Amino acid sequence: MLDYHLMQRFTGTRRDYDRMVATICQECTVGCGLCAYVSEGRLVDVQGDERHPISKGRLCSRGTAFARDLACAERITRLAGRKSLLDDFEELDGWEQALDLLADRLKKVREQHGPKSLFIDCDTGAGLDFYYAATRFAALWGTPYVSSPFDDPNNSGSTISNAPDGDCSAWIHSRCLFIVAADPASTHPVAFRWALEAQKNGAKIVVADTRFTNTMSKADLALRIGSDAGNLLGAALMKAILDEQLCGPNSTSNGLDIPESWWNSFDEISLESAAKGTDLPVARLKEAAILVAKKRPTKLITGKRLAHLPGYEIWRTIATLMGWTGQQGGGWYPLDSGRPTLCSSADLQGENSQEIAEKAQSDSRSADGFDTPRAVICSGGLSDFHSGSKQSGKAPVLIALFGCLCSETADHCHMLFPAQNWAERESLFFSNDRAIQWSRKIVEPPDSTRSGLDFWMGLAKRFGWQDHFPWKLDDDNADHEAFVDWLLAQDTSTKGCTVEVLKKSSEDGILVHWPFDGNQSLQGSSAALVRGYEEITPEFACFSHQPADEADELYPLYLEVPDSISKKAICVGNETLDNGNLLQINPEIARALGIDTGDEVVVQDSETFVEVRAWVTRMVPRWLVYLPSGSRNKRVLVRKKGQSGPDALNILRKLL
Amino acid sequence: MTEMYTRNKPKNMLLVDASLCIGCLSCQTACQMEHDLPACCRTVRIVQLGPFHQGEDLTMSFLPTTCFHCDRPACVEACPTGAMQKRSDGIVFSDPEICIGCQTCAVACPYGIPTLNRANGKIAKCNGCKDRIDLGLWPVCALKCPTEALVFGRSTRVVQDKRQREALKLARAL
Repeated sequence: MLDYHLMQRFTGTRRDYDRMVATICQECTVGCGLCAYVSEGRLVDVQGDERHPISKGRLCSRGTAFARDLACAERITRLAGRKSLLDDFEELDGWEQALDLLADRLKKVREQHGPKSLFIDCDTGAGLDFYYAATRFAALWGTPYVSSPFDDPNNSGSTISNAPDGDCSAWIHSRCLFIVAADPASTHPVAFRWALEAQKNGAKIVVADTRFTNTMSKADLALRIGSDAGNLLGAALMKAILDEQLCGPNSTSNGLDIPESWWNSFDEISLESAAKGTDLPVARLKEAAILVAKKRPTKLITGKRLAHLPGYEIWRTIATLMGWTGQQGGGWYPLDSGRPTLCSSADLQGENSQEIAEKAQSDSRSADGFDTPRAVICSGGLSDFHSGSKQSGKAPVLIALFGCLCSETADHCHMLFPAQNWAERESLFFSNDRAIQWSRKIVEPPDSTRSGLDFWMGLAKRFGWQDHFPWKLDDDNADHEAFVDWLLAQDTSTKGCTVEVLKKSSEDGILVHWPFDGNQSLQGSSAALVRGYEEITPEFACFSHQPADEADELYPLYLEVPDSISKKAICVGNETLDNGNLLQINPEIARALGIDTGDEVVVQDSETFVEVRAWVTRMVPRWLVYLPSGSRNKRVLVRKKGQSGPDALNILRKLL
Repeated sequence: MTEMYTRNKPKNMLLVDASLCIGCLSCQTACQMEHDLPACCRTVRIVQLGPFHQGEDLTMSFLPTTCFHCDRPACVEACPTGAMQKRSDGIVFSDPEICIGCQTCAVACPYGIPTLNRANGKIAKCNGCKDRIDLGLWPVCALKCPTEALVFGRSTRVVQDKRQREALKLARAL
């Protein structure tokens, strides 16, 4: 391969500093290395870590701007509580009093409504320790309802069969990158640079998405697909590959034991029917299939939202059948899926935890699957179900927020608990590449704040469950290292990996991956990977798409929001139009509704409505609107503020 | 004095390769953080062009824009207080100690680069990270750019780099 290295980069800071902390950015799942410069206990500058194998000195806007969160005016620094939402907050004396109060109120809710009335919503900002301690507390309490953007459909993390093959830096060896329902140029720019490097070396980039994204602007072939059609595209691609006989002679011996029924499932449907669900012309689909199959090895990069749609394993099936799995630069790379299956409640036998864990698998992803919660403990913004419950008059009687920054949720909660930022605590971090990293504390946290583990340990003590949370230092604070050592020992894929190993590897500039095999290498056993892939079963053809229902008639547009983990890059304190929280709307639809860029519009569904400003852009097709801050995809009606709903509906019906 | 200054400070260049820009705003944010600028001041700005129709397809690109540090800067000529200055190494910068926030420079600049920082009433514009360069460091926009759309260095080296990139492109195409 022709190669050329750019001129030397001269890095560092111009500011005076006492010490430099090399740590891991936790703003997204890439896991970039950063150098934080601290002076008199204050963070004064952040630069990328040139030694870090993933980022090599690069940092995205989130990795740079997090420093402002540490000392911003919206920081929650006081414990506060109130009896009802109509009252003003009263400052509480300390953590002991606040946790006593929370425990008393939780006990009352439990007595009146049972254990399953508690819902725990974990935000990425609160960190893995909050999430894992929350799931342990929930198992003891008896509620299966713990929601987190870390979740996979199996609710426990990725197995090796649906975790990324190799590192993002290996994308440079790909001949083709097929990116589906993901916008890594916006959400994971540091990882996406490897895709551009591959493109410079002659690789082709194919991007399939509903919107025309930043990533799509760099594509050699852009495919605009229908809503929730990502996995259908995978099946249609497989069908096209089979029809065009692009599999190659050894395809059946690539690790998959393929039954006859699998072939039949693709034979039974025509390519035209397969393409229909994706909104793509057959010719375009064939073009993509030929490009993907011939420019091998191909890396399939899929967005997190596909994990929640049927037919997800089609991507592993394609990668394995085509022989890309295990090849450098080939295989499947599902974004935001680098966390292994770690269960923090498996040892709680006799506490009906197994039943709870199983129920959680089926219920926790769906707000419709359970009664309205009466008590909520959350660590970030509450999801839509809460707005729905407000509308239906079943609002929770207790909402406790454990968070860093004041948000809209803070206006709707009864108790506020100030949380530590990830830069203010030592913590475990799983990056996209299946790398396990130890993130060092940059600055000391404000006195009033606590970590997520501290919060749950304090609460568990009030219920007499302190024996189940034994990770305590002499000063009564949580021992994060002991907790992480215990947690990593809970699963075979991470057993043997300890904080000490992670710290040492960090000093040596080496990444530790799972599945971890300390005896062989720090890179994770390749033998274990191969075994893992052999165990998978091929995904059958699945081309069913949901028929339109009655609600679609009333709400003709489809609202798409980003995955909660994969938020777009930010610009510090945006106040102007071009990067704010704007609703992207297609020019034809906007013109018909009399909407111009900057106008106030109302986005409503059957339960909720929000008022935002519009950005008229061709990035979205006619049937789609996009909002950077929503919580879930759904069908909506959009109208200009002041315009009646029926008027807007009539206009949209004629157009769509 | 001027000659000695010139000898000690060779000219640098910031190469902007818009074809590699992905609109991630890393440069813009890095600049704001480095110079403690509020949201209204974007001394590096990413301009999104498109999406436009190109046949049946769409096309979109991003253009990082910042001060060109002109050879004969109109802003320096126009500044009534002498706050806007050009260094011997080519960097054009505004001295906040002298700036009175009259915005004459903003009117004079043909590219509309200088903007008023409403937080302190002074002009904000790219100062080429002159304090970092004096320490031998790269400007933060180039340093943090994930895709190497921004490259910094001595002009001869940057031009050589650009030539080699283009030569590689050609070689790979063949």
